[in-house]
Amino acid sequence: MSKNYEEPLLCPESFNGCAPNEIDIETEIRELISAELFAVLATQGEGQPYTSIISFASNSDLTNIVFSTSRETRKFNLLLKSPKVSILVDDRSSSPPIINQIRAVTITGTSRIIKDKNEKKSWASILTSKHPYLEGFLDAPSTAVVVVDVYRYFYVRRFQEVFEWNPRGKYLFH
Amino acid sequence: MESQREILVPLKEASSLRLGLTGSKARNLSLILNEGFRIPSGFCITTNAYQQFIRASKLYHSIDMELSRKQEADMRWEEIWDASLRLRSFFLKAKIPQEIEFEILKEIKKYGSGVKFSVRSSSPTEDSLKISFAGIHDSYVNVSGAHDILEAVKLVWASLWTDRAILYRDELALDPLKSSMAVIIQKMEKQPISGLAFSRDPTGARENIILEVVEGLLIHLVDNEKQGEKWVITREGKVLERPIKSLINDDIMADLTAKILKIEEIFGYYVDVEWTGTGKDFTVLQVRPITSIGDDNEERQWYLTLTPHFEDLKKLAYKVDKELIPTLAQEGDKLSQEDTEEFSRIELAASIKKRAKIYNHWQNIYRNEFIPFAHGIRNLGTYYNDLVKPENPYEFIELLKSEEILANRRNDEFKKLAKILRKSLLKREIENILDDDLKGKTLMNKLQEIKKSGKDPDGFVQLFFNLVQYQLDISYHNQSIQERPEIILRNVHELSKKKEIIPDTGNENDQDYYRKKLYKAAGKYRRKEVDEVLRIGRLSWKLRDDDNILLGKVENQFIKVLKQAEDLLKLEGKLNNQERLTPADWESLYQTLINENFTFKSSVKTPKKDRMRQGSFKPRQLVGQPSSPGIVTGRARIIKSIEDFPDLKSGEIMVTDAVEPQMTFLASLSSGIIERRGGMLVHSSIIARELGIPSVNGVSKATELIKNGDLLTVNGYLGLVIIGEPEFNIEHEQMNLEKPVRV
Repeated sequence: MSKNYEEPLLCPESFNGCAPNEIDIETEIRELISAELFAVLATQGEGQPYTSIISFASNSDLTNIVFSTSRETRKFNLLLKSPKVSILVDDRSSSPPIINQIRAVTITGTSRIIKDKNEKKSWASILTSKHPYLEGFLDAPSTAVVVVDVYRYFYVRRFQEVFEWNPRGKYLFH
Repeated sequence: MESQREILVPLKEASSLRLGLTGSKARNLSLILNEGFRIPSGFCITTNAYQQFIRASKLYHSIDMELSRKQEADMRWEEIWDASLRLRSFFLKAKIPQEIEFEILKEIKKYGSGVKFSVRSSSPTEDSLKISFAGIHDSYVNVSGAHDILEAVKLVWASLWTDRAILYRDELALDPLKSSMAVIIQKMEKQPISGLAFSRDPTGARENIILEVVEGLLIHLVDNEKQGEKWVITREGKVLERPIKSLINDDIMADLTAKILKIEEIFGYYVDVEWTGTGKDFTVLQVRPITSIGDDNEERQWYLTLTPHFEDLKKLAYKVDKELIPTLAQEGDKLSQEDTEEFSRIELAASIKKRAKIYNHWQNIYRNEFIPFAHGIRNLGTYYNDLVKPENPYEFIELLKSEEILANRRNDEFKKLAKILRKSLLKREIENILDDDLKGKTLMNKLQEIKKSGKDPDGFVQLFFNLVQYQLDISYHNQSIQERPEIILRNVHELSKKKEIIPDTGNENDQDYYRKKLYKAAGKYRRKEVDEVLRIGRLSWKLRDDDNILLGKVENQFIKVLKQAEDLLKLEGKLNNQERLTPADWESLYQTLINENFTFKSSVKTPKKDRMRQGSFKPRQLVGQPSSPGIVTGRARIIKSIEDFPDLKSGEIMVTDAVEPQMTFLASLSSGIIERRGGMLVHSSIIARELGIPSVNGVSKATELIKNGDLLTVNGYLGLVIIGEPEFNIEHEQMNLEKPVRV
């Protein structure tokens, strides 16, 4: 009853506001990951971070990100020695030139090179269904398929709002 | 003729141009001019100029930042007002591109020197036929001199983003990059009389014509400075209502009526006309359609009453200060002096009914009079910023500090108690009482014993009794604070452990400094005006706090009799012992008291399940408004009800839905404040500034997203709340735990 004289609400159905819940955040991450074709991959070596543009895709529960690279690249050689990576996906290319309207997700995870032929084939098909032009590239023996086991998504919107989401379920420390 | 680069157009040509270029006000004036009516001579600054201005100054970034800081539906009206105030300040500080400035001044020069102009908004979306947005953008009259005219143009541009406009953001399709504003500059007309005319009565019998007439400038009527005289006339010319003594005779009235009907015919819809002069001097200042579709959003309509014009504000100030507040205070005192304990059942029932009526009455007054009067603070803010143009648009808050408010007096006593306890011989004794978990009357009796035994030379107990009896005879979220002395004692004890106890009220010298700054900016001829704006602003600030305390006292008197009835009915077995009551249950409680066969029904619903932090989702950084500067890190303590008060430990960060004056004494225990309710002028902002602790408010769902014990960093410079430490625990742990996942 004391709420009666508090204030008018523009959002009366939920007086506490319309901040996101888990379902919203997961949906937004999912939309971003499926809509964007390219991402920035960060690798490291000799204490030196290194970023590259990749064509990427993901599996349905978002626990894995997949991309391909030629075995001669710097990033591939860095991955061999140091498999921990970070990947940035954002929609700045399709947003108005205003930082507030850009959505971005920073992904952390560990990469592994797929050696098994059948496994490689199924990951490659995930990749080519999003990027058909990669077909020839993936056929080349010099091309490696890299899968990232994702630990966390750090989702950023409105310039500064940050939420974490763990695609594997519960947080260990909660 | 029309081109992308067209900056100025003559009013005669505006009607042949795209609406998006000139806005509807300019277009309507142009139409009427071309139909042979007189309008004040002038020109239109097209929306191209606005576009060039916000692009050259990159203002669209600021606009977007303010508007999409959070979801629109999450913004309270005070936050919308705040966003608008900041934008206005950005606009005033931005520079108009030289080319535009040159064009405007070249045109102005043609009118000669010393000429006064009106500078008015002409928005492409305002005054559409669908919905009328009268008065949501700003206009200025009697402006002269190059500098003032350019300032007025910027203010009109800024008024595309007034609080009223942002409120109608969806309907107006406001977009930082696409929205525009044209400006009309016209020579001021000086006619002996002016007025408004409606070709259809917007309130009464629709088919009638309404004329409102005022002496001199129309602005006096629009701003409610003067009362206009009112005529009601049928479309056939029969006078239904006339003033006793009028500024116009029947011939002029008939001529005006005919002209209004002619204008209606030109436009093809019912019109609302602002005019000045009669006969051959009749001049149209503005034409607008009268819309049939009103705004059905009640809250929004109510909001529009919250920004009264200064004249209305002055009247309201008198009413609130001299009539309402004293009556409310008396009401609370009178009720609290009634001895209800000996009441019979029937007397108790009657008392519940009486107090419910009083309580509801004051709740309505709170909503309809007290909240609108809070605009006095905002009025001072806009006034100060327009004159002083400070770097920080909230500098004016300094002028409100150290006002003698009720909550400060209470908080001072609270702090005094903590200081006494720190050095008192009673300290151990009090700690024992707390350890024994004594409560309510038992606690008060124990303290009484201590007092009698002479073990309290510092007068701690008496001071504590006074605090509880006089300052805490209030309620917080439907619970009486007075009846929970154990909670207050625990808070006092906790505060006594704190090294430094900062007083609630700041330094008066600061205030002097800013007052002088304002006087200087206003010039010596406006000193009286400054004093009046300051007086209203300070009064508004003081009362917006006091009214909560005073209403809290009335509420507490209501709650006391409800509690008494509850206890009685539980004793009789007519009420379940587990039943929790709120004031909304009073009618049911009343019926159960007087009616043998009535069964009590509670209105309390089981709260919805918290579906926030389950599983794999976790907020890392939340955004609000920076309401008090500074950075602090500490553990979260969620305060939802009075039961949470005693858990607040010194140095913790208070996370709450709304800091209310009834509980601001908790602020001195906290090292930072996070609040869901947003606004730079809400209670928490001011108290946090006074105490020098960081505060962020306007954090959506703060009490749900944050959990007790979370490590929080409050960034009061930027309005950010960071939850937890930046760590890679999961990355480290899972790397060791997991086997590779197969497709």
